[in-house]
Amino acid sequence: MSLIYQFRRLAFAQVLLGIVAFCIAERNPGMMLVAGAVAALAWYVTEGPSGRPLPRWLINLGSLACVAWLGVDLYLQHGQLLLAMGHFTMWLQILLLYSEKSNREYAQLLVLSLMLMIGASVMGISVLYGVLLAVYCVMALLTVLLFQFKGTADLVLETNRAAAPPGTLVQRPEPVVGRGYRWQLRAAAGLIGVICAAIAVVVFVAVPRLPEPMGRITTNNAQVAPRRTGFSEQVQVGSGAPTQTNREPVLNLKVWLQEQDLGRDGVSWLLRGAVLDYYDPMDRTWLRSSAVAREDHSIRLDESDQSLTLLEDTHPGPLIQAQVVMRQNTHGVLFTHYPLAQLSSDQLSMVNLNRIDHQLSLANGVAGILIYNLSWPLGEPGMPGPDLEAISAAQMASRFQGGFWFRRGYRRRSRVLDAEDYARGWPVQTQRVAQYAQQILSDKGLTRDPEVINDPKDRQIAQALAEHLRQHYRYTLQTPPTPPSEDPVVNFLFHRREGHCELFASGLAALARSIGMRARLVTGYRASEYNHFGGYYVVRESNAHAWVEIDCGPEEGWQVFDPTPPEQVAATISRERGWLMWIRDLYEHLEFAWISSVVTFDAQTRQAVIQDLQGSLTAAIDRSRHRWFDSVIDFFRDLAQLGQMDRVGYTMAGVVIVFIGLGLGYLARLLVVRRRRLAALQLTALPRATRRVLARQLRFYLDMLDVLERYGYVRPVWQSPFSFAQELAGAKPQTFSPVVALTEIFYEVRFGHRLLDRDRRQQVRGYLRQLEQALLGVRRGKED
Amino acid sequence: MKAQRIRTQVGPGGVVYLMLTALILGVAIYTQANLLFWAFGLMVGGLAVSWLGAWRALRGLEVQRLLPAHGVAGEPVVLRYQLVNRSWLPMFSLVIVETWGKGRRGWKKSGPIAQDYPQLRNRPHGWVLHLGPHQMIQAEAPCWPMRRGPLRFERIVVSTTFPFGIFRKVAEFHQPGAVLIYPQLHRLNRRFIGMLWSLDPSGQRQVDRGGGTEEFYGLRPYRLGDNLKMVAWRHSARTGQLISRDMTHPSPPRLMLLLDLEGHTGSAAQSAESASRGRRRWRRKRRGQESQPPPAELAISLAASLICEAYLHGYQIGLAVAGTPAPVFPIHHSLPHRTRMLEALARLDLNEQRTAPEAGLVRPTLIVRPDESSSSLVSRSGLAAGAVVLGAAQMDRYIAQGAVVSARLLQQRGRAPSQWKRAMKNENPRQGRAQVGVG
Repeated sequence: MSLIYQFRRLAFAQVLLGIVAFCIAERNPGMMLVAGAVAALAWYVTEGPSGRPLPRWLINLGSLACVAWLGVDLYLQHGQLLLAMGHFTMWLQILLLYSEKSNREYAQLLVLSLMLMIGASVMGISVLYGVLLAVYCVMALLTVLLFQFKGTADLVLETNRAAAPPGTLVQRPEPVVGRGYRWQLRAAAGLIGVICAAIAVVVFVAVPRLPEPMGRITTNNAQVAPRRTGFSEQVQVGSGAPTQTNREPVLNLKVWLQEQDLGRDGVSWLLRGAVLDYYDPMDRTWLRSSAVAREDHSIRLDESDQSLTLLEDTHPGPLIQAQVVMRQNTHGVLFTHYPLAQLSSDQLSMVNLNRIDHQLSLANGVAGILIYNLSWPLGEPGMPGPDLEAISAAQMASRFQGGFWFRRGYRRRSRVLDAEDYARGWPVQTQRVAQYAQQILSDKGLTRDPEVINDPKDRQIAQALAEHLRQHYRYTLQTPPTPPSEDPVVNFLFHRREGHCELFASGLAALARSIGMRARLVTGYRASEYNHFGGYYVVRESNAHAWVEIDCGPEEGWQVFDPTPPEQVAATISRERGWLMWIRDLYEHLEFAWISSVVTFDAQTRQAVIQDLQGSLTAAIDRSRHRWFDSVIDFFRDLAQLGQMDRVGYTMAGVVIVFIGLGLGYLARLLVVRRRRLAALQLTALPRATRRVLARQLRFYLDMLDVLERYGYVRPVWQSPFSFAQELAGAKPQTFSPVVALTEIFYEVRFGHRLLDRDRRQQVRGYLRQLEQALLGVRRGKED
Repeated sequence: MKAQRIRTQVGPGGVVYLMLTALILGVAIYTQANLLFWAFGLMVGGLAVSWLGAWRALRGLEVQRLLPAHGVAGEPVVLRYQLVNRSWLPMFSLVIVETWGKGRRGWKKSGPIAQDYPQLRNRPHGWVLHLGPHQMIQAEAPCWPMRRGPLRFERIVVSTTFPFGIFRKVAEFHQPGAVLIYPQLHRLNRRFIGMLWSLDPSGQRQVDRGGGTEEFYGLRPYRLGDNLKMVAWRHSARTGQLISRDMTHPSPPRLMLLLDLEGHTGSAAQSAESASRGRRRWRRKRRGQESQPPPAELAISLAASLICEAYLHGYQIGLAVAGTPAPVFPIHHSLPHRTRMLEALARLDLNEQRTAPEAGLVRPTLIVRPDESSSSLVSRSGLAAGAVVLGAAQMDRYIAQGAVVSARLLQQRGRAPSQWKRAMKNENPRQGRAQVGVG
């Protein structure tokens, strides 16, 4: 029975799709390959030529193994219940695919698959998963429809078996269907799908959202799918280069100034993440000192506009605006620009701000995507850093003790913060590094006293040092780990003279610190890859970057210096613009649109959508009060304004409209003629496909009737083609012999399923010509 | 006929669907994952579509039951239904069920399934996948009646759970009807049939009368209308006038069957049936242990089988019933005669204990009794002298091995009386000498 076979195929495909979608949401390609292959093999094993389901005891044994694996998985995933349960239900489904399936097993399979998709929907944010979810929904609709049919047929079969005497063979009931059931069933399924989708849209918008999730089944994808990211809150300069091959998007950045987009290829922006002020020569690692971390303050965002202002409004000059869409939560750090004027977000109510290094971080967890806006002053040079005095006392919620994201090991190295020592001094080969720095400065005609904290020429000095590194050192990602006996920064400065951004930043910080300047290492991202479809920068893990902030005195404050040669960095990570890149840009833009419109749909967006809808409805009601032609005229007026049409434009538009009207009229005529033809040939009761073919093939018979009608021979409705032909042939055999031949062909095509080929078409045309000539001859004979 | 009552119920998958919807909503609220809000919206959409479907379904549906003329106990009887959709919407997955009594479970308390000796094991179910708008269609529902008698129908219930099985729309049509179910028919074994031939001595000779087609009887002058094949051409040539051969008449066996139910009707039948009443019967049914038919029913079945076999083999047979009122059928051979006898057997009411006055006057050649009890009418009246008594308790001795009930007995055309002897020769080479089941 094809219905049941179709259901089995659909149910199998749906379960397989659910497994693949879960693995994609989990970002686990290995699991997808293994589970997908094992699940796909189930079709061959159970439904193949010699297919046979596995015995029940083996399935039960496998279920026990799944339960055991659930415990192991919970242990391996460090309590990630969602992942473990997802894997558990996935393997249970695969087991069920191998078992003999009654309706009960099918129902279990479908419910398990749905639960798997629920779990996947919590994790999945990519547009690929969204597409798979949409396909899954369509398949689920069809599967449930067919399952309903199968269940009913099985119920009837079981009841009849129970009613029959023992030992009686009762056949499965054949489906009783009326005419046109296929297209009516398809239409019904399509209508149901459309209604479901429409209601889903309404429910999606109408259901109120909470400001924050009640629980944290999974707070972010970084925790769900832990991966090594390019960004780190500490920098180990002794190891090799950071991973650069991972092109996973981390965040999107949109930058504009007075509504003008500032983003373009070749223009890059530094997004500040962690600020590291302490270099541990033993671990050869840059860290953030605990004393600094203790200075984190929890600050409430202003409730009126959900913002935090760090620079006074009296600051001169326009502000550059930026929007950051964080796709992944990287260690709770908020990536910002330095200096920062304002931060605002509908999703945040409180942030942590450090008084010393001005590092911003999340005070509370945020589920999924985080969107926030930044602004900073244009004309960066000479601009002082943020001032905590600008923050009102009411916003200072509490004093946060210590950075929650730091490892315990680092706390042991904590020391009391000394304002004079902050970010000063270089612990490794201090004299040598200081001499080297002084040498660089003397080449530029500069000098600096190491004992002085601030020097009026600190900005020039820092620029000279950074310039020196940019000019005399080479940027490369092929950096082998430094031997344990050597310090990697010293090695970079004096021996290797090439390295990655962390070494460049470490070298500049070492040089600056060695001559008494305050310098701190900053890690974050360098946004340089511009997506032309969306008009934003895509920041990937491979864009992780490190640079230096140097204190240039009380007037100028901390200033950003990037010693890494920008041309060499751009050359390393640059990509060729080809169609593959074009497709990737398009995909990423689609994904961004998906994320920003669906995945991150929150209470504020919902409110905005509802207000838009209300506005549209009000406008529509207002428009409906006008007379209809006023609306048409308004429409064309708007159209003219839109395209700035002149007389030529109006003429062209008129011509186009006339052509469109003619085309629509022609189409309508075709439909009417086709319907009449079907009625004349009495084909309306046939299936659509057969009807179409026969209407085309039997057109010659209608042509013949037209010819006969022109000469006064009309076939009555009640008369069959055969008797009509016999009657004509009986009256004038010579004249109407083509009618008999054409009628025979008609019967062959209509009832004998012998379609016309090329030769027979020619034959038919010949008969028609012959008939017309014969009738013409008869008429002329009468006239003569 | 239009539906008398339409109602909507929660379907088989409704509870599961609602639980899944609640689960999705719960997880969506807990995690605020927007894709789950989408999924919840889709589930709500499915719910709304189901409700809409249930609201519009089965409106404008008309159902008419088309019953067969008769059925045979133990054989499938196909009930046909003519469904007409007067609405502009198609209908999908319609289940047609016969039901009895009041309420959803009324069929368990009244009707042929709830009887002490049930006529049906379960309710007949039919299924229609699709019924288009303004279309008419015929559907079938097989049922297997277990016992003879009129099988009465009360109501037709048409239901649909389209599209997702969340809601069930039910329409009821009050449409009484009945099918007469003949007693269960068995194919009798050949020895026993041969024995029947030997019962009637008149069946072993030809009648000394011409005008037949059997054997040569004599010569006579040709009469207009005689078959030319029967002309004796040699004699005609000798005498100068047409002479025809005259043949003897055949004499098939003439059997008078007396169904003696004395002692198995009235209060005796009721007490036998009451032994298997109520919960015990349901328990047995659940265990698959069907109650055995009463002996009187077996006797009726044997009598019906004899009548059918006699008709098939060209015997002339008559019927009288003792112990319960029934008409007496004189010895005859024809299809209507057989049908009338079967109908009479099908309608026998064992609860009535009264003998028709004519039954005591017949002289039977064959007596069928539920058992070999001596308290029967024939024993008392002395009519059993020379008659063969068949006990239905030994039914297995008379029916062919492996021959289950076969409605083909009814469909086969009976042999003409003139062919009975040839048929018997072919079927029974021993000329029916075997003495089977003579009581």
